[in-house]
Amino acid sequence: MADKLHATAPIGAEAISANGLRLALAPLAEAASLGAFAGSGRAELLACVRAEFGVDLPQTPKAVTTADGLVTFLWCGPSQWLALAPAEASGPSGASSGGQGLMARLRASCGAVCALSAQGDSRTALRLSGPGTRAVLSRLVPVDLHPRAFRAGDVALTLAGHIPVIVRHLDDQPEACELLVFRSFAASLFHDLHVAMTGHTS
Amino acid sequence: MSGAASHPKAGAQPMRVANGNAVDTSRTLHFTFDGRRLSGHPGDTLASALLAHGIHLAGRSFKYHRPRGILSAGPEEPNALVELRDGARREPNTRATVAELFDGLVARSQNRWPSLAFDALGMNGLLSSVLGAGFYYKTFMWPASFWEKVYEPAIRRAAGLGRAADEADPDHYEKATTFCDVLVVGSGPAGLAAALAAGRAGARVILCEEDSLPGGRLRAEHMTLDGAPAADWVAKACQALAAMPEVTVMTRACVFGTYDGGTYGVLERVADHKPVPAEGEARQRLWRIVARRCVVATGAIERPVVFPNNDRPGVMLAGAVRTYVNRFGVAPGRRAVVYTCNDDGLRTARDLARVGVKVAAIVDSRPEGTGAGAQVARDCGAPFFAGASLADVYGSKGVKSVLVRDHAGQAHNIACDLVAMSGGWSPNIALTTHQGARPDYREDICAFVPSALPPGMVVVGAAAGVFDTAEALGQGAQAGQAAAALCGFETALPDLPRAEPASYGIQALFHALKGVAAAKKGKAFVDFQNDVTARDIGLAAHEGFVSVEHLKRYTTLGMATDQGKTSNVNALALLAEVSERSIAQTGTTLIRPPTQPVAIGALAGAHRGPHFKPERLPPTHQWAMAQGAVFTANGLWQRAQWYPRAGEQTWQETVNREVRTVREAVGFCDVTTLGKIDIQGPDAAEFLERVYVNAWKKLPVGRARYGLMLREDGFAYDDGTTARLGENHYVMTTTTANAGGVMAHLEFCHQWLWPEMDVQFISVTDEWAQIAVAGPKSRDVLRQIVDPEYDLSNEAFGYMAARSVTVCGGQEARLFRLSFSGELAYELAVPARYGAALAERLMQMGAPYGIAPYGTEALGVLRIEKGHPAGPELNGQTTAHDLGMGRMLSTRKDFIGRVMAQRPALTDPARPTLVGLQPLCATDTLAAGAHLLPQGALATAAADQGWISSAAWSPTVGSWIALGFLANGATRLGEVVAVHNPLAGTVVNARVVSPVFVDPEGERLHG
Repeated sequence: MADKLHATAPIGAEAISANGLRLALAPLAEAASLGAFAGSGRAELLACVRAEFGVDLPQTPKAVTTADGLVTFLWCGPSQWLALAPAEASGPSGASSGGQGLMARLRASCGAVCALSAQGDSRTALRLSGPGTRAVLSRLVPVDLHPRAFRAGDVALTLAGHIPVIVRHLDDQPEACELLVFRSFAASLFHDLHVAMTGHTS
Repeated sequence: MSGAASHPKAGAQPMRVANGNAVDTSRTLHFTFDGRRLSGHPGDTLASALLAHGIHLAGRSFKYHRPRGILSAGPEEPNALVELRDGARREPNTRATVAELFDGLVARSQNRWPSLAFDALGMNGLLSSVLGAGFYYKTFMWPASFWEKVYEPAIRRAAGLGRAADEADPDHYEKATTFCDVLVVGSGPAGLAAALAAGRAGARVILCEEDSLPGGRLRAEHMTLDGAPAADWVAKACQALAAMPEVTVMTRACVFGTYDGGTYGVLERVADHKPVPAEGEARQRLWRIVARRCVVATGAIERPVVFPNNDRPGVMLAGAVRTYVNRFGVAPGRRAVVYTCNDDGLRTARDLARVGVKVAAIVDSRPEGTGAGAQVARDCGAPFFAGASLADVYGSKGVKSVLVRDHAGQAHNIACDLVAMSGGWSPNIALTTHQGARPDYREDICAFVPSALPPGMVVVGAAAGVFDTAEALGQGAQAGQAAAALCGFETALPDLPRAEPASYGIQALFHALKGVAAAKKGKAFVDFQNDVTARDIGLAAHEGFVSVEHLKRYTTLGMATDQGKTSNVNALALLAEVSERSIAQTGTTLIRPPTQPVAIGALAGAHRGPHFKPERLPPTHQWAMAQGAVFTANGLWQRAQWYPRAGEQTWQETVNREVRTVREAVGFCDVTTLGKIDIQGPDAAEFLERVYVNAWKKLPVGRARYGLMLREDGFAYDDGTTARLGENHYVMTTTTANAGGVMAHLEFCHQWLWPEMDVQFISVTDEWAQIAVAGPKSRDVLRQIVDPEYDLSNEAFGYMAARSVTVCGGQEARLFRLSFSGELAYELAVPARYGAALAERLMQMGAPYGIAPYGTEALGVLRIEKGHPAGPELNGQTTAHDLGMGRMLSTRKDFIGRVMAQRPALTDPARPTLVGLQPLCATDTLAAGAHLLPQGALATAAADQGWISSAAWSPTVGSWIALGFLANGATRLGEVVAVHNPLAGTVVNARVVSPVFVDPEGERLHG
């Protein structure tokens, strides 16, 4: 049999640094959507995730990350969550685990009580960081990004210009946000963020 | 302030007679106006710099081409509209009163030919009897064909409004959204006090000032606060605001509209005051500000007085004259007549006298003994006329004298070069009316004030009819305090400065005519920008246009770019008078956003040119680029349309080759763009039963089925295949165009119609790179890709099979045996990151079998040859019956659209139904959109029997072929019909055939 297929990054562009800001891909090793089934499924799903991952699924637009830093759960609708395993996440040992096996863990722990769909290639994560991150995002995203309203761990499902995005506030020191976008839109969003950072149209 | 003699630049700018509080005379800027080199200073507007040279004449009027001067000192300016800059940045209709001067500014007057001083079309004034109210409607009625060719071009040339740049705008525009607790609009005394109060409470405050400097009238008037010049207090207040971390002061930021939910539109002129924006800087920024509370402190706009020849250059608003004197240090004349109906106008005489301008007369419309006129006149050494009016103005290109009619009717001719007039102040209430509230008329101040306010808004200061500075400060502070408190931020009121009391004492003065309709000698203008006179209003009323809405449209009053800021109230007063009603009874038109002109560039922001819309790129996009593919837009998706090869002369040649490759060997095509929806849950099968017309419960795991969805109204909505991957797990495909719509449809059905169903959906369109591999050799190629443990034989993996497999040594994938081309075909899905590599691998492994990629054009030809409906057939007007799928409609279950699809009109057998068409002469072109007629029939709507929906040259059939809809189509196979293409002017005879042109028995796809 022939060699394995090689992966291609969703966009060809390199990371960009401008005006103290940095825009880069934050590759996902794996991601999965969780949709709780009806009846007791929702409560059971919460319990299953708590037992396997040690976190409570958020009930409002927020993100929680497991203690080992390997998996983040994002609220993205009533009874719906995204589980993300970033490629660069590292466990307590410092070794990069790459989150491999996320889907297997989810299937084993909560496959009976929720719909699971692989989403690791559906979404692309872009990370914008540096002082002025909020100001740059305000040129694309029509939600309140003020520190009083949008804190680390907060999530917004919204539009960046015309592109649907999930914005996650990572940290204030330094300012950093992650934007999850459908893979097919990644190049356009990268361009639009670049313009918002620099004022250049190309 | 210093007098004219002591000023160092007096020679260069003879009318720069004092130090204005906003002008830096230590630096000089150079600019040109109509080619003449002139100078000014930082802080000047184009208008103040022109006036510093004694230049009043700034443009010609819109209709009569009358010479016009600078009327105002702000954004309400109707006259001084100029063209700014050169080349790609040339911008017409810019108000000289708000255009900030910069070094090298090039400005030109407009609407004049050949020159501003001599204008050939000035004779329009002599034709005024035909150019009066409603002249468009009366004059250009006949013949209709003349409108486009003769009248409109002539009118446009005559009513030139400057020239837009020919080149694309080189500047960058931004849009942004921000939020605050309290938005304060306007930075006069009320606005500053509101911002200080709300800001000290800790609320998030944004203060928007449309001017380049904060202060409002505090900069324009000669007044003190706490005994010091008012501008000093403005500076202190701004320092205090700057020290508050949650307060943002935005200058050059005009709040132009009030929208739902506390949303305000704001235009920030970031770099309009610079020759060229700095590197990376936006020229303008469009803000959407969402505010919990809004304090409107937008001040007031002074009204002119309507009297004969009140539009002569040199006739100005009194408040504007004071602005030029106090803010810019410019005297707009040497001998002034002040004409007023209120004490505020009298301040003008004092300010002018202070800087050495001779006050030639004070004309006060109020009777002797009212107001402070007599005292002011004594102080200024000016003749005083109480109970008097201006009867005429002389001097066509600049005021030379005025005719004063005193209280006894005696006429006095008084030489002067400046008339400062005040009809009183109209609160600037535009933002309060954008949601439909009609303002109330207050007799005591002769002006409209806000009535019902949008939620969260308060109005303070002059905008609320409060013209006293001390009162405005207090009201502003209280409003700011209250607004912050309502957002949860409590505080004490800030210390406010002491202001001098000032009287107003207005008595209504809208015109100085003996009668509105009787105005014969000399035009008395109401609307300067649109050249509407008192006579026009009289005429309109005489012709029955007595509703304000009719008056506005008939006369065009208030419809120019200034929106009638200086004219509306006067017009209402005149209309009230001729129709013998009160102003309150007459009412007012509504003011719509934007309050100031907003450039389209700002509304578009960064979304222009190729970035007007985002693009969606399928996983093989880069690979296809490298293959030299030609792309087409399919909604937002960019898809390869065809893959030209060296030596191919036309796209048709390429497409023919791609079609033949699929029919004879094997081709592949990225079909990732089709919507893919993952459906899971115990009720998934039941859910599919309800959204599709056909049955789903018996579909076994590992199989796919074609499904058709109807809309609630019974028409066909979308189609695709859905595969059952597990007991309670399906993956649905949709058309590319309807992917988002179907997802929303499913969510609606679940959330609203059947919330009890236990089913979950999520889009996996982007997750899987899905590639169609089609052609007789497709199995042979896939045999090299799919891992050997999977049996691909026809017996093991027949038509419509679906399963998970691994490819290329263990990579998870999904394989479907689906065919859109009618050939033996598969769709192979791998996680999107491997899509490009899969394309490469297919090329490599398929080479021995003659593989080639094909684009959407060949895809279209293949499906037309096979009679498969697509977007042109599923156009929202066709039924399952029309599409030849009437028998798919299950009678054993309910589904969306079932009932409405049974309506007689939808089941009429005479409805046009899907047929194939083949021209009698193979090379006769068939075109989508052509109409089908009986042979020999006239091309009339009555004879129309259908249309062609899709057409292509078929290399397989060796002929043009088409799909179309023909009345009674199923019964007419073999008949010859006329195909009429009215665009090309052709009629082609074509035979009605089965829509399946290739392999009607379906042997190939089962092979």
